[in-house]
Formats: sequence, C-alpha cells, structure tokens
Amino acid sequence: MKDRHTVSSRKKPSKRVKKRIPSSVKRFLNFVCKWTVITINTVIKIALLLPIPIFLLWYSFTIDRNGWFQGDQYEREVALAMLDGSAISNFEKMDERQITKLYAQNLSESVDVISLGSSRVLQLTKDIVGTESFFNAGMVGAEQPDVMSSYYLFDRVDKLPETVIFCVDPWIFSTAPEATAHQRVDWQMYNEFLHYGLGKDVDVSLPEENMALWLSLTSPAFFQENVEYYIKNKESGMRPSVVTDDIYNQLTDIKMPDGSILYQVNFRNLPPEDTYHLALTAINNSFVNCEGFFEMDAGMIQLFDEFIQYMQQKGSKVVLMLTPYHPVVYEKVLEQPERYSGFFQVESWLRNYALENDLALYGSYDPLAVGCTEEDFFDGWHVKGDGISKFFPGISNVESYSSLAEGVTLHRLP
Amino acid sequence: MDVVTAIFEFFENASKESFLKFWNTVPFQDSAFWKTFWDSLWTREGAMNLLSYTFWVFLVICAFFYYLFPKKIKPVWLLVCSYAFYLYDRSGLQMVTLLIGTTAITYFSAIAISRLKQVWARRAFLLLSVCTSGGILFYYKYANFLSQTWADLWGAFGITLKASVIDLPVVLGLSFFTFQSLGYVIDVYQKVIPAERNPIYYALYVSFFPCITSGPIERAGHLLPQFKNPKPFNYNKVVGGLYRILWGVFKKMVLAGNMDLFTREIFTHMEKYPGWLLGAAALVFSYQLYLDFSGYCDIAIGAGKALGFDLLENFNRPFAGRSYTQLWDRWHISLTSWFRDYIFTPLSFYNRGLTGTLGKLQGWFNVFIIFPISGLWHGDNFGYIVWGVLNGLFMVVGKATAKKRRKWAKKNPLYRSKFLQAVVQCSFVYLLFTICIVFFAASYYGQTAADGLYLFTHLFSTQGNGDLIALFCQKLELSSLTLRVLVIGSLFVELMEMWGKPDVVIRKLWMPARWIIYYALILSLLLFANFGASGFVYGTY
Repeated sequence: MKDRHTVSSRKKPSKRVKKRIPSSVKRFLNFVCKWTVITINTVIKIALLLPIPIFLLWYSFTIDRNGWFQGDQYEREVALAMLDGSAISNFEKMDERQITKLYAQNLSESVDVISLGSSRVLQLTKDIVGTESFFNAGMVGAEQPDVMSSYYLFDRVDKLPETVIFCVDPWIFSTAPEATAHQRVDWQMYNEFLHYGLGKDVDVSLPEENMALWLSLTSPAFFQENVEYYIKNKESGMRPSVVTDDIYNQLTDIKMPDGSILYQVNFRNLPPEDTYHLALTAINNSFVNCEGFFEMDAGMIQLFDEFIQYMQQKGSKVVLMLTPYHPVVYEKVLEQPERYSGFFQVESWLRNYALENDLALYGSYDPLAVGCTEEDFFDGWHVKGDGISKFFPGISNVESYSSLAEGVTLHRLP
Repeated sequence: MDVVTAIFEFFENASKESFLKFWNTVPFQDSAFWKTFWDSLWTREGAMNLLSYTFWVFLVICAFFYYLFPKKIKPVWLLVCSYAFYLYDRSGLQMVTLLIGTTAITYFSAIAISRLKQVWARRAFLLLSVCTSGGILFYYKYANFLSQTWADLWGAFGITLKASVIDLPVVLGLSFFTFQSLGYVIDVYQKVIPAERNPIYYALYVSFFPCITSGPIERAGHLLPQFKNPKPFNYNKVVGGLYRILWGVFKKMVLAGNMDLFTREIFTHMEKYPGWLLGAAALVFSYQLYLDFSGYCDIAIGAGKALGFDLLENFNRPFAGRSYTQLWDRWHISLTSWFRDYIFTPLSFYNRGLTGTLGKLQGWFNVFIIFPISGLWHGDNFGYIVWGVLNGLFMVVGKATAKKRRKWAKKNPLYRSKFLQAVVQCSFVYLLFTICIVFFAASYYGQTAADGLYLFTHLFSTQGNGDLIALFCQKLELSSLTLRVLVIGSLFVELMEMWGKPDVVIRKLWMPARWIIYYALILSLLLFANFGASGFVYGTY
C-alpha cells in the first residue's frame, strides 16, 4: 500500500494544502470541551448504575440473615428458650455473642462446664462431656477476641464455671488479615474484658466501629444468602422458633439447649465421598483463617497466656482441646509447609505450654494422630461428635497433660 | 416462592423510613469504612482473580493513569501494572523469577538471531530459547507426572519404585507466557517479524496482565505494534470493553457456574447416577467449558479494550461449526493457530517431498500429532492425553473421508433442507466433541481417564434412582427459575454472538435497549450467579 501510494503521488503531485495549526488556546478549549463531555457522560452512566449497588446494600442490611445490623430483638427469646431446655431453629440470624451474654445473665446458677471456641467446638455436647451442667459457648467464626470475651460474659455476672474446655483454634495466634477480619466481634465486650479482666488500660466507653462487618454488605454472595434466607424463612416470619417435632429430622440447623449445634439432616448424612469433595474444594479455595499465617505472634501468645492465668485465678480448671481437620485438608496443608508455617508452630507450642503449666490437653489438628477418619467429619473443618469422643474421654476422666503426652505422636509435622 | 417474588416483596414492604434507617446507619460518610474497603481489596491471598472487586479496581487505576501519562511513560506504566498483577500473589516471587528469566533469555536470543548470519548460530539461539521455555514448562508441569508414571510402569511389572515428588509451586500463566515468548522467537527466526530492541515493549508483551493468566496467546506481530502506537482515549471502545467484561462475567458466573454445580456432582459421583444422566452431564460439560473459557477470554479482551488494545479473539461460536475442522478453527483459536504455525506448518514443510500414500499418511500424522501435544499442554493427566488422541483421530478421519462424505451428502434426503443439514451437521460435531470432552472433564474434576471410560460403559445403565427433583432442588439447590435462566441465557448468548462481537453489537443498540441489557445482566448476576465457582477451568493450565 505504501509503495502504491508513493507511485501515485509521484504521478499526480497534489496541491499542498497548508494545514492551519490551531492556536494553543483553541487546542486547550478543545481539550477542555472533550473531557467535560466525557466526564458528564461518565457521571450520568455511573448515576444510572448506582441504584444497583444501593439496592444490594439496602436489601442485605434489611434482611440481615446473620442478625448483624438489625439489633437484638430475638436474642432474648432464644436465650430464654434454651435455658428452658428447648431446641431452636432459625437462629442463624441471631447474634450468638448476644445470645451467650443473655444466657449467662439469665442463668439461675453457674454451670459446671463451659466450652469456648469457634464452630469447630460446636459439636461438643453434654453427652460427650459427661455432665448435665454444660454449656457450649462456641461461636461461628470466633476469633481471639470472641473466645476471650465469652468467658468474661460469665465472669461479669459472677456465674463462673468450674471447668473450661478451651478449644484452641490455630488462628487465634495469627495477626494475618484473614484471622483478624473481626467480622462479628463485640468490641465493647472485648474492651471490657481487657480492662476489667486483664487489667489493661483500655477505654471501655469508646468501642471501635466494626467496619469489617459493614463490608459484608458489599458482598454479592451475602446478598444471595439473604435472598435465600428470605425465601426459606418467609413462612415462619424469619423468627426463631422452638422445635416441637423430631429434632433429628430438621432441614435447618438447630441450636440445642446446651449451646451445641445440630446440623440439618441432609448435611449430617452426607456420604463420606461428598464430605471429601466438600473438604477438598474448601482447602483448594483457602485454609480458613490460616492464610498469611507465617509465624505465631508474640503479642497473641502473651494474651493467650494472660487469658489462661486469668481463668485459673478465677478458679476455673482449664482443659485445652484441639479439634482435628479433615484428613484431606491436613494432607493438603502438610504439602505446603512454608505457606502454613504459622499453623504448624501452634500445636507443638501448645503442647509445650500445656506441659509447662500442667494443663490437660486433648486432641490434635492432625486427624491421624487422634484416630479420626474421613467418616468422622461433616466437612473440611468440622469434626463430628463421634470424632471428638475418640480423643476426649469425658470431663470426669480428665487428667493432666503429662499423663497424656504419650497418647499423641506428632509425627506428621513438617 | 422464588427469587423474583422475594425481590418484589421487598420493594412492596419497603418504606422511606427503612431506606433512611439504612442510609443513616451504614457509615458511608466515615473514612474508616472506605479505608477498610480499600484494605480488604489487597489481601494478596492467591493470584488476583479476574472476577474479584480487586481486579476491577486494579483495572480502573491502571487505565486511569495509562490514559493520563504521556506516550513514553505508557508502556513503562503497563509493565509496572503487569508485574504488580503477577506479584499480587504473596508466593509470586519464585514465579516472577521464571517470568523474568524466560523474558530475558528469549529477548536476547531473538536479538542474536536477527543479527547473526550463520545458520548454525541462529539455530543454536533458537534451540536455546526452545530448551529454556520448553524446559521450564516441562519441568514445572510434568516432572512429578513423569516420575509417577515411571514408578507406575515399574509397578505394573511388580517392581516397587517410590516416585520422587518435588514440591513445585503452580506458576501463574506458565503455559501461556512460555508459548507466547517461544512464538516470538520462532517468528524472528523465520523472519516474519523483526526482533524487538526495546526490552520494555518486549517484557510487556510477555507479561501483559489481561492475558497472562489464561490467554489468549498473543502474537508479537499483533501486540507489539499496538504497544508502540498507543491509541488515545476512545469512549466507545472503553465502554465496549467494560461491557465485554460484564458479558464474560455473566457467561462464567451465571451460566457456566450453575452448569458446574450439575456436572461436578455427576462427574464426581458417576456410580450413583443412571446412564442417561451421565450422558447429559457430558453434553452439558462441553457447553460449560465453552462458556467458562470464552467468558474468561471476554474479560481479558474487555480489559484489553478498556486500555485501548485489541487482543486476539479466541472463540468464534465453535458449535456453529459444520465439520470437526471448522470447530477447531473456531475453538481456542490462539492455541490452535499457535500449533498450526509452529508445529503443523514446519512439519509439513520438512515433509513436502513425500508424495503418494506416504505423503498422505505423513499429512494425517501432522494433523493428528498436534492434538495429543495440545492434550499434554492442558495438564499432567492421562485424561487430557486421551482427549487429545481422540480429537486427533476424529480430525484425521474427518479429513480422510471428506470427499466421500461430500458425495454422500448430495444424496442424503435430509440435506435438501439447508436448515436441517446445519442442525444435523452441528449436532454430529457437538457429539464428537463431547465424546472427547468426557476425558477432559474427568481430568478436570480430579478423576482418571478410567473414569471417563466408565461413563461410556455405563451410558445405558439404569443404576441410581434418577430422582431429578432430589438432585436439582435439594442437593444442587438449582431452582426451576435458575434452570430457565440457564436456557434463556444460553440462547441469548448464542443469538447476540451470532450478531457480532458483544462489545461492538452493544454499541449498535438503541440506548434504552442497551440499558435494559446492562440491568438484566447485572441483576441476573446478583441473583443467579454461582459465586462459589470463581476459578476458571483454564486458570489451572
């Protein structure tokens, strides 16, 4: 094309038209006009799209399946019903921190044993523990502040338990962003605990605003959960309700009177191969709360130690428990020792700590070490009650760590 | 009650008070809220997902400064962004070393090839590039596979060998950037393009972030001139690009994402379901793979357009192909053409002297061999190789019988109607493609080639209860509305793409119609997308 053009231009020399170069003022005005039009156009388009994100946020805020934004109108009903010995459905919307607080406040007398931890301890029932006087204060998605505040909830109403089964999740020693997202933390309560419980200089009158919680409103997945929640619970008015028929045949999760969770029947009866795939998908996605956890944080270790001492000073006997992960999860984590270096430090450190402080410690993060198989899990993170029974002999048989040291061999640490 | 009713009821019950409560409670005016939001974008856990807010914010920042900077700074800025994209993954340091190493070796090799006159010296540098890029690809993708296969082979003879498994990281975009750099060096060697002297342009070509994760595999002759002559901001092109991204997200998350729920369940529990459901899953997976990968390409191409670049189109409605050759001319075009230009053409050139039956056989072999190699490229699993071998066989049989089939077609009464002919041919091609894809699907879902074979041997089995309601409604939680959205959405995608490229077509529409489509796509995303399926099938290669 270029050659052809050159040839033709030689044959017919065109008249040279002198191009008038626009003045710099004119060019500037052109530039301003062009960009003004583009900016106005863009602003109009953004304004036209804006109703969608606003609707997304408004809907999630209003339906609020986890009960994070709409206050505690139902939590009291749930706490009282549990104290009354009832199992509750539709409790997901409730604020578990609030329920535990109200439960503790309304206790007529102290319970003998409580358990602390995340959802990974919520399968611990009074039958496994071996006492009628038991309350599982585990919370879904519990982080370090939640765990410590939940013991304080019993302290502040002077209903301290004789024994605390503290299910230690590895991420409570992490300061990685995922482990400290603080989505559901009750900061006011935590600050109170730090101030009155541990004697730290914390201003209890000014709880921090939990911004991470608000961020969940921007999640399309959370929006979908809210739509599903609305559809599922429309008939029951999205209120918590006491389960009157067969509790073991419910299609929703049940909060038992002892605080433990009875998962919905379909989830409980998943065949092991489905559980395996669930676990595999989950670990391929991420190792919950342990991503970016490269080293145990010295501050968190200090806080953990102070917390244990605080419970002991208050007269509670402390039993540590480590609930295992699904075998495929643990295998996958073992394959990446650098990525999960912090995680691998936790168990050895805890065992030493238990030994030095003469604490009883049961379980292991490694399912093989405690004899748990794939059949003992609901998914990648949650062990079944039968699985817990394999390594926890019940509260009446609890002994100090030294006598259990031989029971668990951590031969699979990298 | 379904999703739509839930939304309508929400608006019915909504009041000004409830909106004001929401508006006044959510701390939009608090800078801490926006800071937390900003921080949440850069968690750096894993590679940056093209379906995440992080990528979209990253793209906006990248495009904003790109258009703001003067011409000379633009490529430097894009290079910084591309490496930032690559290093977003915390464990990306080892990966980036490979990227830099490949870039440096191929850059200097190409310059040496262009300067040297002696054939042997030019060949030596070409060999160096091929060995380096190919070696890296081979080592990181197949070292463990080969070790395991070696141990299995001995195991078959009763000799137990322990496979030495090396802890190798998954290198982001390895298969893509090695092919891209290799293609460039071969082009320079064949004097198709001159060697690029400016290392910035070349490094940008190898690492350009929209296409580094999963392609399209770009050609230097196509992309480098665009880097050298960046176009000024073009509103229509940028908006078209953003729409193309939305289009891709819709295809991936709403259509492919929900199909994935079904196919994953069937392929991972084949023994539980009757044969017809296994067949249905295989048929669905073919289309799911197309939507998944072409959806990813739409996002990559859209991101490129938002920055003013035209990336290679990777799909051209493959299932509208009337023959197997046509299908492969329209499927993963950038990879297919790469194999054509750098394997098939040289092979044909070197065997050009062969005539008669031998020449014919050699020609077929050249066609065939591309596909097992392509299978290997996809992954270290025998399923992919079987997939490649079958595709190669179908291609060869197709070529060998083309003349006879054309003769028979003239006599076929069904082919008197053009429409009927198209339906029969497209269906047949789709079926052949599906036969191959079964092994691909089995590999993708972590099964073995034997599981793929299991599907065929149990196609007529009546095992399993076949309770579709229990499967779809309870286990997969796919409502009838979602299934309708899937069917209508797929038809909509086909119709729109038949009309032209989505980003071009949308600009032709009347503005209200355009906005109806924008809203429909975004709302269907919010309501029906499978947010759990955010990984791309081709993101694993």
